[in-house]
Amino acid sequence: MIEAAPIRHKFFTRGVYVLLAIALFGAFFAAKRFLYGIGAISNLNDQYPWGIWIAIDVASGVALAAGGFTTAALAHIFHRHRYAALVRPALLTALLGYTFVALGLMVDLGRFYNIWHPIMPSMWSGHSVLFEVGICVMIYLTVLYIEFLPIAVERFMGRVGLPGLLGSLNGLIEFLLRLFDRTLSRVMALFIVAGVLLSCLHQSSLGALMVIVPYKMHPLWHTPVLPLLFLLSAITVGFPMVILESIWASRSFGRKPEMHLLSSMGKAVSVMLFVYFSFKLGDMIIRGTLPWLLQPSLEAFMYLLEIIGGVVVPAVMLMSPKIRHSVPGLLASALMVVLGVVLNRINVFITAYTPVYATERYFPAIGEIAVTAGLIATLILMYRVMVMVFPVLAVETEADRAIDGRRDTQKGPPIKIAALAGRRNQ
Amino acid sequence: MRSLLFSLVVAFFLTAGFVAAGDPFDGPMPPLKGEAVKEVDCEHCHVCEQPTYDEPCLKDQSCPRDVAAAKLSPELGPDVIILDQLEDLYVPVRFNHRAHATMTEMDGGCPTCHHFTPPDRPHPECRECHPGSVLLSDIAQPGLKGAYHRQCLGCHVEWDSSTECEICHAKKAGGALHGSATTFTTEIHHTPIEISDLIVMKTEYEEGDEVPFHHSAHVKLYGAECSLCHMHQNCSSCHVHAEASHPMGDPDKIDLHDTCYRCHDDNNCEYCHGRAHDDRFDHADTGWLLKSYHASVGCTTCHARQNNGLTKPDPRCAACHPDGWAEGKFNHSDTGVRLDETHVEADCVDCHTDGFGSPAICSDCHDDDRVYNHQTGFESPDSPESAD
Amino acid sequence: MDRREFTKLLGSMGLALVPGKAAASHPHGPLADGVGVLVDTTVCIGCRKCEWACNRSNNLPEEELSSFESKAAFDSYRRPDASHYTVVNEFKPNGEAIWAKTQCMHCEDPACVSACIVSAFKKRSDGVVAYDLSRCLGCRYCILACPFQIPAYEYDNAFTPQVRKCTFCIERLDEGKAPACVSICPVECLTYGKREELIELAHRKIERNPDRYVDHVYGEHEVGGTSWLYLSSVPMTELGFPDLGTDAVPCVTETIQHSIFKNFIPPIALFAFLCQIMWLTREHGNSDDAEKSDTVDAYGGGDEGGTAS
Repeated sequence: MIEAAPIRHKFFTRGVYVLLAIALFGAFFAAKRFLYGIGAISNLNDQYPWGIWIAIDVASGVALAAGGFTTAALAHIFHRHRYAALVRPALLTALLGYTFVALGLMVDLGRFYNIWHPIMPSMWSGHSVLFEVGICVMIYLTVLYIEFLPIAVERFMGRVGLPGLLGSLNGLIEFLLRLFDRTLSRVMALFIVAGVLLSCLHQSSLGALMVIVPYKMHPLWHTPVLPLLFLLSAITVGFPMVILESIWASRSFGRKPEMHLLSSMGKAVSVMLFVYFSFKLGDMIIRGTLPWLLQPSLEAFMYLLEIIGGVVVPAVMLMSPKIRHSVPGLLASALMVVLGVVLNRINVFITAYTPVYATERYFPAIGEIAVTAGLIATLILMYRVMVMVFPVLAVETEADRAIDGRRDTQKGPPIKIAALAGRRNQ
Repeated sequence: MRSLLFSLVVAFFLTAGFVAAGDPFDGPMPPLKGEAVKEVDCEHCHVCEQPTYDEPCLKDQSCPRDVAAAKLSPELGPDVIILDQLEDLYVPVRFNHRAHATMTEMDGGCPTCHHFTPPDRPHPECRECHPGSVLLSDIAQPGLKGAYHRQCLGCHVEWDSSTECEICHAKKAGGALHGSATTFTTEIHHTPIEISDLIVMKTEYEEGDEVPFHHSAHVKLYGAECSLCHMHQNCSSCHVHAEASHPMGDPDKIDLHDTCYRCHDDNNCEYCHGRAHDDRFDHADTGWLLKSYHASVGCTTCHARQNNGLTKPDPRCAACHPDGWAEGKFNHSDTGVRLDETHVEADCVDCHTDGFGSPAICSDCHDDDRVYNHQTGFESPDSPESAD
Repeated sequence: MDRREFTKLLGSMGLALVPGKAAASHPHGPLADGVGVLVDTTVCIGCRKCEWACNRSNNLPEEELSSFESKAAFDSYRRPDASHYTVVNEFKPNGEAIWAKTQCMHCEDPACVSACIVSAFKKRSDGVVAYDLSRCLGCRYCILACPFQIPAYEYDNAFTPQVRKCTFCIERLDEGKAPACVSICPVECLTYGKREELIELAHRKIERNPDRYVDHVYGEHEVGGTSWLYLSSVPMTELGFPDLGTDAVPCVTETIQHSIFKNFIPPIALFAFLCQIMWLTREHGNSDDAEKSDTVDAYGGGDEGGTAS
């Protein structure tokens, strides 16, 4: 039985204050953008219309949120149930990740208030890769919220007690929660599969975005199989993201990471990294772009950094059971994979992009960095809030507790999920 | 109306059987689509497949361009033309036609601009062929604005590398006409070109390293037109590029042999090389001493040009003076025969019985067989010694 | 089973994603009735009247004619931007000045049209690539995608920025007039007409004056053809134009896109495939994983057991 419960922990720590400061700093620049325009806080121009807001906020954000669908696929499509404990945190990461992709876009889009336009059938644009990405992300975000609904139901059903005037809504909300509770579990399977499908589609399409600029991309990265490489890397980075997030959350809340699950994930990651690497290498051999690596250039350096630091080294590290089973070893290798994928997205969208008439290379302005950093900080803070409100992280067993010496964590009353389902079974 | 005119012009060309040659830029071509293409093809006038401005390779002398060049002289054209058909942002252009027509004699002559003149009629005005705006039905034909500007700028941009609009027309300020067409100066005349009498060219020819060239004699006396030697030179040769170039063209490519051979193709090297500086052509050497009026006119007054040489003129006076002279204007001494008192009283036809200009027949009055020779005077077949 | 299944899954997706060899034939292509403009750079005199006419016609700033007469603008290389749809640059590849006007090329198969998420860019039947501001959400993918780097953005407008580029003077075209720049050009180095006839004219010009032109009509085949065409005495790459191939830029992406979404069969097939795996591995997963559980809830954290061991 998986028991998950809201974490009882002091919200404000030193780290939280730092994150808050970063978030506020970003908010300041975001406010400036809405007063004076994108140009006021960014180095974006007609040569470089896309910067880190796309490369990091959107492309990396979507890639790193892949943990949601890979874990869901592992646990529910391939029925590796022992990983089920990781599904909820991964789902929350994906949910928040995609939400922040949308928030990031609000800053980046010139007419952010028109962000709903792709929904309108009159504006559908079937030939546009971006349209596919946009629609898939929108639907997937909805699916993620639907997948999260049972957690909300679990948390609040029977306990809805809004104060004051809102109290009149209590009955309605309670009714809705019970309605969801009865219906959702029957169709949830379809939503999970839909989530995996949608993820596959837009994760790959994100790569296809840059296929349209053959004359403006460095040959090291421009390939028609970019969508496949993006999909492979997204699938690969899903587990390391879960590992990373699980270890960090455990540290932060003084829990013990689920090492037995995480290290077996690490083993799979190693295999996937080699698959990804072989695809990349094969593509380069077929296109004959290996000689570009021999030229001393920023592009060659960034490419090697991405491939060696983000793929080869962690793949080798994760092959070793010793590293895999040690928390720092696993953490380091997972972090390398994650950073490698982020670097890949930055490389594809920024490093490789060489507009025809640019007089100088793009480097993000302080405002762009601040907004991105602020969004990431807010994302982490929201994660902290969510796990303290909703039953996301699995309840530690007695055995875990015995191992873990730090006992400042207090848990709320465990909510037995089985109890909910059990009613149905009876 | 304009299209009617245009079609009239086209019809005219069709009946005349001529199609214009190319122009300096990319002027009129036969319409891409239409009947003209079927009825008149390029080969009608052009011998080669790709005629260009410099080498139109026209079949015969009667094709438009040469007709225009042969028949018309700058003096026949108007002095000033006011171009006001397209007045818009700028005031009308007062175009000094005379100055341009004179200067273009140096190069291609009238066809430099009037590239489309059918035979037996004056040059058409630009707007007869070039419509006010480009017709979608015939995009190959430049509109009037394009035709004007390309024609003018083609040279002007070359001389001063400037595309300042105010060179030709003042800008209207604030939409109102400042500086009307009448006040805009047109009194532009080219300063007289100085022509030296003698140019001595140094060569590396061993037998005679100096070639004296009597420039003014060639122009004034022998009647050589500037463009005969200064071929394919244009305004910019002297203006902008004056320092860099030479009146004879690119200094690196000039071979004056080619230029001189245009006329002196029968002469040997020594004809020019090593010739004495004062050794000029003397008409007396031909057996006809030039005196008085005859000495003052150019060669072509009497001699017609033929290929690169001159024809032998009809020596009879009446060939050039068919109407004779006004009463009392003819000085018989100019012919070399000073008439004594007896002969002055005689009528012309008393001696020149076969008509004015034919040799005098002395035997009608005198019973000996004397004849009169311009060089030797009266002489008798019996007595060979001269009697002047 | 899972690893093998997973590999199989990857394989099937790979098949769907990798475009079948290069690019398949592209549905678009030159329009029968498309119009265009032929720019003869050998005739251009660099007077910048087209810039002035463009700004005036499109209500862009700097309307004073005199401000366009300054030749100082030629001191640096300029690009069209949000307040200048067209600019003329001066080049001296062989010493002699050559001027070249730059503006949207109105591609036959435009990358911006293919890229736009909300079809704000459309290729009209007359060849004009038109922008519909009311749809635009400002993602700037069009600017990224354009092989000629033409669309510009109003980065300093906080709330109502728009993508700016040559409109081909649609209003004037609809009235039967030529674009403003073509109409004003004093030397008529711009010729407006049917694209097919312009190409024919361009080749005739080259044929008639082989010494005057490079034997290439820029835009006839570049990126599948463009409505604006250029003639010049030196290769256009020496006049600031990009060196492009003949394949339409959107070919590859649209082929990928269309093969992934062909009648929605691949996504539906993948969906069915995933459901099948889910169903087939149900019992297997149970026995493999959890000994205690006897029911499998579709949703995680359900009845399956033993994970928190």
